[in-house]
Amino acid sequence: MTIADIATRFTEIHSPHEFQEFEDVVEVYQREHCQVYRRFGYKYLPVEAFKHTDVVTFPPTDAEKVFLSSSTGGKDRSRHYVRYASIYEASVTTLFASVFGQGPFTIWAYLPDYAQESSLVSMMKILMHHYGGDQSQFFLGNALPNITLDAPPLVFFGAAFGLLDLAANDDTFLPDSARIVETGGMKTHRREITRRELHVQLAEGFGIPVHQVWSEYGMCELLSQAYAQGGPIYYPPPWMRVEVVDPEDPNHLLPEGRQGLLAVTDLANLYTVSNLLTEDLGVKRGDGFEVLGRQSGTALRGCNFLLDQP
Amino acid sequence: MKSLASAISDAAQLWCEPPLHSYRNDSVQSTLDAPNSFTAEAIAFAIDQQMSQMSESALTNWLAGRMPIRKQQVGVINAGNIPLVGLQDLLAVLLCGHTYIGVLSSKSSYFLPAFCETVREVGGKFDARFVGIEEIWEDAEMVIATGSDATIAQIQSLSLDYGLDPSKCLFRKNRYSLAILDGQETEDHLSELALDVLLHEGMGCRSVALIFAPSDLEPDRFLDHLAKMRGYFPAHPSTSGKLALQQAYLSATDQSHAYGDGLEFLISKGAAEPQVPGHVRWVEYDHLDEIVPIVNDFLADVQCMVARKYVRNKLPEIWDIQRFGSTQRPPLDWKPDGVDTIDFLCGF
Repeated sequence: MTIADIATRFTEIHSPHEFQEFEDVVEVYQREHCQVYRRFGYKYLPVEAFKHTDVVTFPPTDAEKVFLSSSTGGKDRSRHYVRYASIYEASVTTLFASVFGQGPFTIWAYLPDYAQESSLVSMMKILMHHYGGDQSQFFLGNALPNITLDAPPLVFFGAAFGLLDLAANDDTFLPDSARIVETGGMKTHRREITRRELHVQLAEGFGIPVHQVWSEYGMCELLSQAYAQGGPIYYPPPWMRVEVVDPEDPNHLLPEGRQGLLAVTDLANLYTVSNLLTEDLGVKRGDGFEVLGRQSGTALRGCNFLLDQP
Repeated sequence: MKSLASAISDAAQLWCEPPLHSYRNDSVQSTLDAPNSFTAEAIAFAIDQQMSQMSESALTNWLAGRMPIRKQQVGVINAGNIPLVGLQDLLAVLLCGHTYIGVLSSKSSYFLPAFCETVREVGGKFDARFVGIEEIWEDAEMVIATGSDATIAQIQSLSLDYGLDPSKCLFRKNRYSLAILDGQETEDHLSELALDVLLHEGMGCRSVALIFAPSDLEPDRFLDHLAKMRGYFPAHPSTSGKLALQQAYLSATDQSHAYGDGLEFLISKGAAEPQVPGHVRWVEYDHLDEIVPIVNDFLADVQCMVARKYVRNKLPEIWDIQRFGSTQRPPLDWKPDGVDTIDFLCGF
């Protein structure tokens, strides 16, 4: 099997055995062609590497797209060189269709403060192009766009903090069948809230049942995403595996139910590095995972494991 | 009848003056056997430092005549990241006359119960018990808890579910400490700074995680002091394993760094971002004035700052910068996150 084969077939993976076969080939390829990964030597490369260096298996000038992370607190931004835009598109559309169906949908994206170079903006453009009806759109400001009664079902994406602000306004009721997909960002201007509280507040603010508030897990450094369909548990697509590792020893995988750092293997990251150690704290739940928040160096120094895990 | 302050003081004396009390020795041994990164040397330092300042007069002065209007049940969810981390809260609750309901961490579950037993043995009378977390929500009227943003969000949510008044909850979030150098530090200053950085393997909000230094100052002298400090406070056997991945990462991404023999410590140059415990960040500046807006940006996350006196006088007074070495020697009356625990406990 060649890397080119994997590039065209990774979305067709159906079994863990197949995943493992692909992963073995990809890891060897990336060790050989990505200098940073080769020198690092461990399995999961910290995602912050995308801030400090070019994580690539090819000359960056050959990239068809470059995703930049949002700038927070003046810190460096991650830079993800995407060798082939078609790989990203295949990953985004295959997962969306398997989770939501073929559509068409009315897709709204409320992403204030997001730059054009963000992967989330790109993702929304792809989804609107493939699955969006006429009334699909990006919008800003404090008012919801109009939607006609005969419009296809609404799927409304937005960053958590932006959606909360929007929900606080009057007249933000959505059609009964609408689904909200929050894309993370739990810190509000007021205080940190749990995902459950967030979903309850969004459901109340937008006038829909709480099980229609879904979540998406994605980041600039990953070309694949995972969705939580009306609960706390995210399910990755068959070409993405999420493990939980000990933050103090990321080589050590933790069993289901134990809190640790999320370590992702994303085969869509074929031409960069697939095995990435995120800064997100989470728990493995069956075939899925739960995201508990951001784990920083500070949190490790302090008392993150305050509530002892069983 | 003996006052509680007097009994606590007597118990503290038994714990820090030879022959050391068996409760101390037994709890030290059990703690060393527990799943944590504590070393015998660091535990001894922490116990001696805290017990030696618990005289009856110091305890009475700390209380300063403050007492609550009525006795309440105070739940304390203890962090376990450094030895004896919950002692101050325990003393504060007991001296205020409240009932203490403590949840212990599996990393450090022996010291507080053992010290309570010692206080009882010398005649101290108080209400304290150690429980599972569920009992806190059932019984506590006030709560003190420390944790990460995510953990505190969970606890806040639970406390609301159980109808606890938010104003009666004292939540402390994760913090870290920093040092500011100007290049004129003496050998003693740097030795004390090595203690600020290395003790407890860099764990705890008072340990120094960032060192601001002039761009023309190389860390070589400080590295010597880090190595020397490891002679007094050897690294926990797990430290090198934890730092190995960090070091490999810095090396792979060409970030300037240095480390001690056997990876007993790790220091890297870069942006003012705290790293994992045991890995200290050296942040360069050209002029001292530059660091004021940088530090002001994350001031809410900073627990302590240390610098030599000359530098202290050049920086904002409100920063309350202390001398080198002070981070690992918290005074009895120190205020975590700037909040006076006794005031909180007497406010209702």
